[in-house]
Amino acid sequence: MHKSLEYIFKTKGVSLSRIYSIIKRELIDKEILIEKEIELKLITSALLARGHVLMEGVPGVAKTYTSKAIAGLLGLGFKRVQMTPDLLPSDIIGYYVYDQKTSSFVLKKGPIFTNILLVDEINRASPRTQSALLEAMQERQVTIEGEVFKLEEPFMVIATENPIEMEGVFPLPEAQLDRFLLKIETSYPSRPGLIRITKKADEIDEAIRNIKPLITREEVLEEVKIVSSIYVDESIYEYVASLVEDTRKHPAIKLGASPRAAIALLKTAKAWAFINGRNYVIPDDVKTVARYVLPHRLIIKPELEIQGVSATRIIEELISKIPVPRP
Amino acid sequence: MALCQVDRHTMGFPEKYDYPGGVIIISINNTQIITVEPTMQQSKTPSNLSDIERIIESGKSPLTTLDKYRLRDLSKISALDAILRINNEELKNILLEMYRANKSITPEELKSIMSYIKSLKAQGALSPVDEILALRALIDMLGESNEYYTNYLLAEMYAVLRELEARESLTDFTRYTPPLTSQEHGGGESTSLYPQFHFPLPQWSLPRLLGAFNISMEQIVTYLALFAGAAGFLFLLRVFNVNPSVVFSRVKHSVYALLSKWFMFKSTPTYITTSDLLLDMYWRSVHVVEKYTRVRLEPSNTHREYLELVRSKLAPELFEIFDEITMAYEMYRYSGSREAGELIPKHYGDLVRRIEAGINPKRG
Repeated sequence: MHKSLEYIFKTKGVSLSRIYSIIKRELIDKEILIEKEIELKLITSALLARGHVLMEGVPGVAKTYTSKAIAGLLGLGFKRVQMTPDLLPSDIIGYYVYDQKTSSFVLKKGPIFTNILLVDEINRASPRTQSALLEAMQERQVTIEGEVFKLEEPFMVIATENPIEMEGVFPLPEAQLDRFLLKIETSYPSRPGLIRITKKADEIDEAIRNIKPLITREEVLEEVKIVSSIYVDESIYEYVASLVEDTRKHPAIKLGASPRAAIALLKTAKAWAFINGRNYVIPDDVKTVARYVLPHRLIIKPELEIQGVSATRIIEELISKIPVPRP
Repeated sequence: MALCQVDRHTMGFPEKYDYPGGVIIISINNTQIITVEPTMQQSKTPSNLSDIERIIESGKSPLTTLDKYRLRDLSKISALDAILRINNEELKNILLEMYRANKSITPEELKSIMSYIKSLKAQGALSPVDEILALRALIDMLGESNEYYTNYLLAEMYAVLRELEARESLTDFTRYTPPLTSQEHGGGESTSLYPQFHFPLPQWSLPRLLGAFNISMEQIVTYLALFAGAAGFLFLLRVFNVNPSVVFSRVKHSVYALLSKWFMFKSTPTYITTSDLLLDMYWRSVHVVEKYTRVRLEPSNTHREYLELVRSKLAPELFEIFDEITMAYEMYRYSGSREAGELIPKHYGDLVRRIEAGINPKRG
């Protein structure tokens, strides 16, 4: 057998991503984050695919802990914003203040000027403040007083939201939801997982506070470059297209996935393939990430939504029906 | 002729019925059926062939569409036409010979042919349609002068039709017996609840009895022979002190193995075809695994999903080979690695060799 092939066969399933290997070793293997492997894989995928992540879950399922831990390991700029209804866009982006010493206006940069921005409880901010994030997330730049400022690469927003709160929250508009590469729904841990968490609660708290950065900015940028060059077969493009197109044909869907969704699906599939130890995309990658890339971009018909039809269920249905590439 | 008093108010008491050919007495509980030979004096028989034709074409006729087609234009057709429509070859040939020999037949000839028809009927070898057609041919062959025998043949045709009608009602009766209403129970028309038999019921002979169960004599002989063979086989097993379940199990496994091998090696992939030989090898291996595990690869299943589906169904050594084939396929198919693709034939050969060597591919 060819040497390179032998290596690939032997290391089957072992991640090619050094970033994910470190995250796995430090957070999963050391049980700092319990039963969060899929979330960590997805956040790493989003980072390598140059996307943003929305984490949705009831309070107390370690959304913020996960984000903080992953940001702590990356030797990158990290800031956290706690969203409140009275928060202004300038509180995030920045503003000019008059400096009496120099008799001039000086730019006071907001927390958005960082690499990893944790936006906690994003749906508590007013729509005006939420939309301030739009330009930054899509264009990777902000405009203050008509002046454009480029954000430093890598730039990733990890937002968290609580799905059950109805009072004092502003649901994210579709346009803003579309800006998030992935939406991860965090659920409760299993019973054994819960027991492990409760046993190690203090230890986990201490470990997260003391996390040291082990990954450099250059390493992140290098892997981002590798991910963009992951090989995608022609049939995979066809498969992604049919999956996205079929969301528009589904009778329960009012608004299907956009071309941006198709791009996001492919980008995430590439990163997922890389993290899973491959330099090529397979249909399984598309199937797996579609569950996190597509649902938040679909609008279900209200009458069916009331009956309990969810976007995730529709995506599952489509995945189980659409033929994968053959032969 | 046996006669008894008619009592319509007592259920089960013998009843008297008019029959075109005479009178019959029938016991209602069917323990005994007494029939009488039809006399030649009829009062209600159709007077000509047009009457018969009307009965055949009427909505109440129990004949099937095909039967009606065979009996079409009964009053207009010639003797030859009627003979040629008969399905019973033996009867057809006899009538054809008679037709060719002389145009009109004598009463003696009529009696002998009628007794032959009755014997065929008793054996169950003559269908009612054939019988009507034969009678129709005989009417023409009698000539116009012999009115006495013509009426007799018309009465016979009518009796065949009534017999058919009664067969239908008998079938209905065995299916469902309506409950008695208080009025019917106390009233004078209680007999109307039961089928009205206007004809002599057929004699219960063995061929007829078998016909009712749709079994022929040949089948009975075959079943008896099989039963005797099986009994003999079991007896031999007993004599030689062999456990029958062990023998059956071995036979079952041998047959299963033979069939599996045949299906696996003789059949070709049914749904995936490709000109690429390396890919073709993968789909052949999928086909082999499908046949053995009976786990179908759905169109929406990826190669990895299928691998997971068959994991618990294959023995570890075979699963390992199939895993290697799948991974080689994946690399060749989705990354274009020719080197990986060239591993597929090697592993495929390995898979087939191991199966041929008799390793049970199924886990457990």
